[in-house]
Amino acid sequence: MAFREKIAWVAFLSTVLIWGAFFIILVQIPHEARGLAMLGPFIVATIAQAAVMIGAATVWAIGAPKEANAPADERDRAVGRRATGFAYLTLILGVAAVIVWLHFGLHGPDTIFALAGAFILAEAVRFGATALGYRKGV
Amino acid sequence: MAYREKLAWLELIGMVIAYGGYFIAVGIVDPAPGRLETLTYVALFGAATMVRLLILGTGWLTLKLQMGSDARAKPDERDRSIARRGASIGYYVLLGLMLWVGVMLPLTDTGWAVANSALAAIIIAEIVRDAVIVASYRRGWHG
Repeated sequence: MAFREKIAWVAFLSTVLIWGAFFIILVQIPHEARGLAMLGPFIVATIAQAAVMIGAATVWAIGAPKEANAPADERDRAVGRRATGFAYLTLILGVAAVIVWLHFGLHGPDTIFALAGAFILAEAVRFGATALGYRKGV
Repeated sequence: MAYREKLAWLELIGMVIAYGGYFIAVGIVDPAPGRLETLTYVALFGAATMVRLLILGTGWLTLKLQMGSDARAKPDERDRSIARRGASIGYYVLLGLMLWVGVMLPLTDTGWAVANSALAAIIIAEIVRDAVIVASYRRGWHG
């Protein structure tokens, strides 16, 4: 498996697992307490994802330094653009869903979490589509 | 000018006229909070969407009649590449704007103020996407 494909899989899996756990914790906390109570889990999730990504990239870069340092080629760019196109559509739909939800009781810090959810979902789609793009040979 | 470039111009112009008009109207009208506010904004947004569909429909039909076989050709590799480039740049624009709408506004505003800002973020990202597609055709971008 190529370096960029491995990184895409790690990014996808870590996003789903770490931020999935964050949102599971979020829904178990009462609405009125969510603002400050979620600050800790948010910081932990951000650091955890960064640590996983840096760790994975470092280990694989030590094993294959040439591949890790190579600039993105035409295929890498095509895979990236295709994945970002899917993520863009996901983000637009996510934001549109939040706009509708705003008129059915969504307010305050919950709006921030809903938009963060749309953003994280779009990023998960981007990482997943990148990994699948390499797998399927786009 | 090729069919797909004209189509890209059409989408860009439709977006700017329709939703530019929506946000000008939003700036002018100031409905009282409550049911009237929701009805006013929904009616304005519905009207803007109808204007956009009308521009797209009329323009598409005119291009189809004028350009015949060009209009029937499927998008080639370059067309797909340009479309992906536009979406890719639009995505990062929308992400950047969401940081502002998602982090700052919910703490100071509610309801339609946040909804219209989020809507503006989508429209700006779409205009950037359309503009990138138009510019890519104009400059002869090949990927």
